Amino acid sequence: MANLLLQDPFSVLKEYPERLTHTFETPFHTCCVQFSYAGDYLAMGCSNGAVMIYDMDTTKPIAMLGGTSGAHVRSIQSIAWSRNGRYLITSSRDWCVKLWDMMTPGEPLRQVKFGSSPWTCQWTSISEWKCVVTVYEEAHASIVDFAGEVPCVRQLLASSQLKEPEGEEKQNEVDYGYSLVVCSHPKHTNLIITGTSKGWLKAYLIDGENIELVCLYRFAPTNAKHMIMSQSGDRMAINSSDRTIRQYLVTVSDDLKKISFTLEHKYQDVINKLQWNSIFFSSNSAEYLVASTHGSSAHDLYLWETSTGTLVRVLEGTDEELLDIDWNFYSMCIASNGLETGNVYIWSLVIPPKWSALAPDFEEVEENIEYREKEDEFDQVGQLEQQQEMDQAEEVRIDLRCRERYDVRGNEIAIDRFVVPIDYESILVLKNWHKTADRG
Amino acid sequence: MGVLPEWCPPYNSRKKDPATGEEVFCICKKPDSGELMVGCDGCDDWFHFSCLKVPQKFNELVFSFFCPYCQCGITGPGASSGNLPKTLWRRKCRVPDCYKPCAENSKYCSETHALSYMRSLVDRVEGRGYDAQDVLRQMLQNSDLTKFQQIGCEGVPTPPDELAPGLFEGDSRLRDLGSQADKIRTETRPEIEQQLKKLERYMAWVKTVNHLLFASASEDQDGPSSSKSSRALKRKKKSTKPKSVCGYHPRLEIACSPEEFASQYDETETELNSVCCKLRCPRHSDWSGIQETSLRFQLETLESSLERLALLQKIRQDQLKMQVYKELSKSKQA
Repeated sequence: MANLLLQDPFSVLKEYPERLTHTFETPFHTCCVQFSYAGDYLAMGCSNGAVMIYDMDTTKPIAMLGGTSGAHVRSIQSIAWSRNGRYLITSSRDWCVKLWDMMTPGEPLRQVKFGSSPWTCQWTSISEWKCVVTVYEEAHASIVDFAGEVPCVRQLLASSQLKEPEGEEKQNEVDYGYSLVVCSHPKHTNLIITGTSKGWLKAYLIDGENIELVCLYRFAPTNAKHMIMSQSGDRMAINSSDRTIRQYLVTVSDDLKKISFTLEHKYQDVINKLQWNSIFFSSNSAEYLVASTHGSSAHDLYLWETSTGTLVRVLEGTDEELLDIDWNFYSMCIASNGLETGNVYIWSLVIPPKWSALAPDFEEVEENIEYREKEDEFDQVGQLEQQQEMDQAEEVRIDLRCRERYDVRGNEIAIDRFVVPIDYESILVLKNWHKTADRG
Repeated sequence: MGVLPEWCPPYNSRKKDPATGEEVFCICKKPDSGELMVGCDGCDDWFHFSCLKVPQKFNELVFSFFCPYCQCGITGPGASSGNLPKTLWRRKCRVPDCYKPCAENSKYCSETHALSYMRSLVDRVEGRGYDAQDVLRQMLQNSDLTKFQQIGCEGVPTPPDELAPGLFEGDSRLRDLGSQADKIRTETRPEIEQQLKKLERYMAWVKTVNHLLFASASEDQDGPSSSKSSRALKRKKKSTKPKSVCGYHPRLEIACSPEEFASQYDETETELNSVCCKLRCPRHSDWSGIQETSLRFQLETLESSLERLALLQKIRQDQLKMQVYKELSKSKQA
């Protein structure tokens, strides 16, 4: 990867990718995409249950989950990478959620079978091995702990009922619907928020074994399709079946017992009344929101500024409807998969080459110009001053030992980045396979 | 029209020296001095080997010669027809410094040269640490041509036991691969096959239950008096819109006979003996299909991993054999 510090800062620091740069045409029909946290790898879940891992430096496939055994047999619903990029969980319509170790991608490390098809799976930050899964027609999400040999599944159910301030007597009979979407608060690790089919948000506070329902909030009488939270945890967006994306400001009280949601914006397609397929926030405090639209007429991703709610950019370049979206902040890429062909499209920043970057006092000129020497340009008098200046510059101590904490875009870089090992055995097998095939 | 080579002077039709009246030949236009010449098949002139920059040793290899002018179409047949002729050569004997043409149906000018060529080839065979002659002799021991051709096709030959005792048995990697394959054959595969059988049994049970429930239900509705034809009609209706319970059981256990189950069945209940009894059940939709594909897929991947293991075993064996041979040649050299 190029050293971003040496590139043109005006191109590097753009806040969203602008140009379609890659199209991955895979043999399978991709139905969901997910970048690893640091953007080194892209996992693509396919409709036949295959999960392929692409290396984003070479843009070539490097691994297939379950190549030896234990792959999914139905369409993949969701994928989640662990923060260090070593572990993955996948949920599929074959009712299974599987945990994979990229050290041995040939077979799943652990798996859980549910009583019906799971919707989404997500890592939580409660503890290292815990993830949360929402299952078809289940009122509550489930917490799966993969730490043990046999994963332990527990329903995300409040230990005691929340006392509603209104005190309505029929409170117990309220049908909150099925839990469909879930996200874990990025800053307060023991807060988990779920969204239901009847338009309720439920926030749970998890304290060891004790689960407490701390907040109930109805955003609309409709199905929640997606729920995302910004990295800073103060913005949230819900995509629902009523063709609206609602953006909320989330404030959490110090003891985590009170959460309030303030509606900031509603995004709607006023003319065509299209549904939104998927949504995603930009990094940190989420200055931008990107969404893909449902319907064969729309082929673009829409990007809004979240503070004003205005459309700032339409990401174009594809000829088909787009489904899932994932945005990686380290490589500044947006990936999305097409409905018809199952191809995966990548938008990224194109940084124009700047040859003078290595000699900062050089200036690049478009065309040759005749240089006119300035009056005092090569005079000898300034030399002493210059020398002094140089000496001063040298005296600034340069820290060579500490690692840089943030990259130019403000992403943390002191994180572990797992490198998927090269599978020499399969290369060997492939080579010899061809040999035997040729002979036969 | 072709182009004359650089060293060739332009065509000159002079045949006699104007001063002496002597006949002159070749591109150099000199009289015959007894130097070796070749006659052109196109213009019947004679040419010196040296003038045409052709080594004299090619003397016997000329098949049909055309001078530069004929090859360019200035003279000879090419001038009229446009088809430029070319000098043709005979194939040379394979022995490097023999410039005689090959005999008929041979790559050599004579049998003696054939033998000497092969001998020189044998001399060049190198068997590090071995007597090359011996190796070759051993390879050629069988005068059978097909056997000779098969040498090397079988991969690396297995070294005899006295050279490397316990070569394959002692290798942990090979043992590991072997035990993996064994485990698949003796444990994993039968287990999955059993699960598949269990699933099939359970599906058959669900089918009978469904048949009992809904076939009998239609009979009840029809009543005993209904004629056969109307029942058949009902059947037809039913086949267009099959009615059946979901029948999903988390552990696929058959608790009772289909008859008993059918008698206990109650339309208002959604579950009986933890068997799902919903008529239209989106929750468990396609449960049997998913389980079946999953199991069949597992069997398939087991087959391919067996193949893969076999291949890996072969690769490892080849590696071991090569190691033995390398060691041998090293020790011989020492």
